[in-house]
Amino acid sequence: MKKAIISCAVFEPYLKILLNNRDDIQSVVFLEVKQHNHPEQLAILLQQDIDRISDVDEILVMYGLCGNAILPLKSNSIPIRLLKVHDCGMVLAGSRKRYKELFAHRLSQSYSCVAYDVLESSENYRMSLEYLRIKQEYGEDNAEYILETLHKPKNETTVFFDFGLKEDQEFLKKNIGRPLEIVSGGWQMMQDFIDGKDNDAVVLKEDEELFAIYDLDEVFVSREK
Amino acid sequence: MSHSEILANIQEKVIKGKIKEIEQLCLSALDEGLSAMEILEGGLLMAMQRVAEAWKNGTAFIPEVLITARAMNIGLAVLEPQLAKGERKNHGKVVIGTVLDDLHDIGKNLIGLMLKSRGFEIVDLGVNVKPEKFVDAIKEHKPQVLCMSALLTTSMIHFREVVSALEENDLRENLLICVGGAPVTQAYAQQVKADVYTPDAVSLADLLEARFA
Repeated sequence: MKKAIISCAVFEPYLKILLNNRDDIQSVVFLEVKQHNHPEQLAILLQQDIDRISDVDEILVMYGLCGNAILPLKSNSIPIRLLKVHDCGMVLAGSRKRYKELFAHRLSQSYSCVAYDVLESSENYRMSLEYLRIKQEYGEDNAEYILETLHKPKNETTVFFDFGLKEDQEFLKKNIGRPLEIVSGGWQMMQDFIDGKDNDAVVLKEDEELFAIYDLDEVFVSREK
Repeated sequence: MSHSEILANIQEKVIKGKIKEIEQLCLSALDEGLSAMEILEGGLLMAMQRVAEAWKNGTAFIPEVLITARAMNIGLAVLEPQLAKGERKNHGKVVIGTVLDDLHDIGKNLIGLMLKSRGFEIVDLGVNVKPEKFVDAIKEHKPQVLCMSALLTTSMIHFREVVSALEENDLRENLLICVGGAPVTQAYAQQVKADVYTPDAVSLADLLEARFA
């Protein structure tokens, strides 16, 4: 079965390893991380990439609900397979069961992985263009107010998914001194998804639409229009 | 300086977030014979409205809205003793909170600031609020409106739990339930039996003011 992959770049370091020597994957496109902050725009980008793909049997979209970004997607004759998750946290955990063990009691917990490079911090924000713009236009007091209001992390500790790659070691070096809870990353959900196992996937066919459930098990489903 | 120039000056200072100057400007405006209501409507609220419109048009951003809202509320605090003397109507009580499993408070706080400036009394339950805490607050404060916020697709399912808990406690009638947050849609609001969904804080403030003023 020939497949094309459209993925969030959050998975890039891991897919490079998992896709090594696979001849069923015809193409891979990575979209920048944090696109979920603009779900309407992400939906457009995903659909554009989907519409460009031909001559494969299936399109694997490595995104979850991601702020509802995937809900408007349409299949144009080639079935689309999506991850049945809210966001990348469950995928990085490796399975639904492990995600629940790690996060069900703290769903608002922030997490990170190598794709996010350096964790957001007050020091980083003070060097950002936005901070400098606000400081210039509205003064330092207002810039600090915005930092406090919009950019101060809500959780002191960030969970970091460590997959044992050299990139993970580099990330940890860059973030020395930050409060991190390091947990091992899981490969299983990514591997199963690429292999076409259905347990954590939703398949969207022509004349079907996606419908959100928002729980932790079904998350979203496909149904006839 | 004419009254209209005084109000225009207040507007500019509010929009620029000049919080140290606003308090004095409001006091001076009162001394100049402007009523607290005139300063509120022609200075503070007008500034907020200008920024809110710019935000809707895409020419201002969330930081601008927050800076203006904070400055407006500093001015409001100066005027409140005068306004409380009966010049200004209280439009009612609103309980606000971010649902369980969600620590995001920017949208909720913005709603609180906007509604307070429009004459509503705000009871803020904070973030990560359990359904039973919403129920207790409705029993205690007897508000006209409940506003719930969620920013995560994993937390918005709690809207339904809160609505159900309110129904079970016979608190649903005469309570306008509003929901909002980035992933929330009109369709989802109907699904969880909320009465009102708006895509942003300004639209909600407009809607509630039109309904209760």
